[in-house]
Amino acid sequence: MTLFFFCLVVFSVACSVTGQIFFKHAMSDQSMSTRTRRRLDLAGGVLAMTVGFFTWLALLRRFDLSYLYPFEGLDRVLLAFAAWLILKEKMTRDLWVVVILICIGTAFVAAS
Amino acid sequence: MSSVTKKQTESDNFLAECADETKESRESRFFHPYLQLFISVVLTAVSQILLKIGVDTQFVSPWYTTSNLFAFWIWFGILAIIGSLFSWLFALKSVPLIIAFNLAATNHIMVAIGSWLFLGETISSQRRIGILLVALGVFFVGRSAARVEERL
Repeated sequence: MTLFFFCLVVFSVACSVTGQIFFKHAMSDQSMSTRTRRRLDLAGGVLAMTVGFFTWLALLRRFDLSYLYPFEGLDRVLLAFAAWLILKEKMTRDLWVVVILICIGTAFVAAS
Repeated sequence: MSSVTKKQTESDNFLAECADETKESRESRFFHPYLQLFISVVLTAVSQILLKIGVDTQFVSPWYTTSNLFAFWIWFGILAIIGSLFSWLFALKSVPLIIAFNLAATNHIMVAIGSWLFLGETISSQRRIGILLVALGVFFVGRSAARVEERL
């Protein structure tokens, strides 16, 4: 897999994670957001999911499913980094271990 | 004669009640949160396989070509994604997010088995090790991911 395709995979996974977060904000009962803000969140979620979906389809055309799907595991890694960046959550040792485990697994698949 | 009719009616009522109870029990078994979680995981794997069949056999470039609207394997894949989403949301009403996240790790194994069985893909031992490592990572990251998902 070239760097370009790897970036596309990460982009597709990132879109899916972003879409999920947008949807969660739009649907949350506890959210204090205004109606317009909720609609914007919903639209953002749909847009991110759609872009991610079409990117994923394009990637599926090129690669085997058993090769491509393990990269979906990177969504947990992105989520961990998002929490570290946005929520200022600490990256614990255990979290680092699993992040490294997923990355090594992905590297194994990428090299296969 | 009327006593016979009354007994017959009682017996009919009893049978109808039994049938209702059986139906309810079947429905409650179907809506069991863990069964729904399992259905969600299976549907996710199925959706990926259907999408792959769709893009290989029906999808044409560029993506906005009209004939792509009739790529029914892709539509089935999308339906499976929607079904999996509903089952997931239903299951999350009762199953803690951490357990749901942990169980979702089996997705990676199911997709690999499905690709081998239905798409005839060859999975080398190196790829198998990679898939296993990713599945293990996704399994163990469940607790942190669930906490983050709740906060984000």
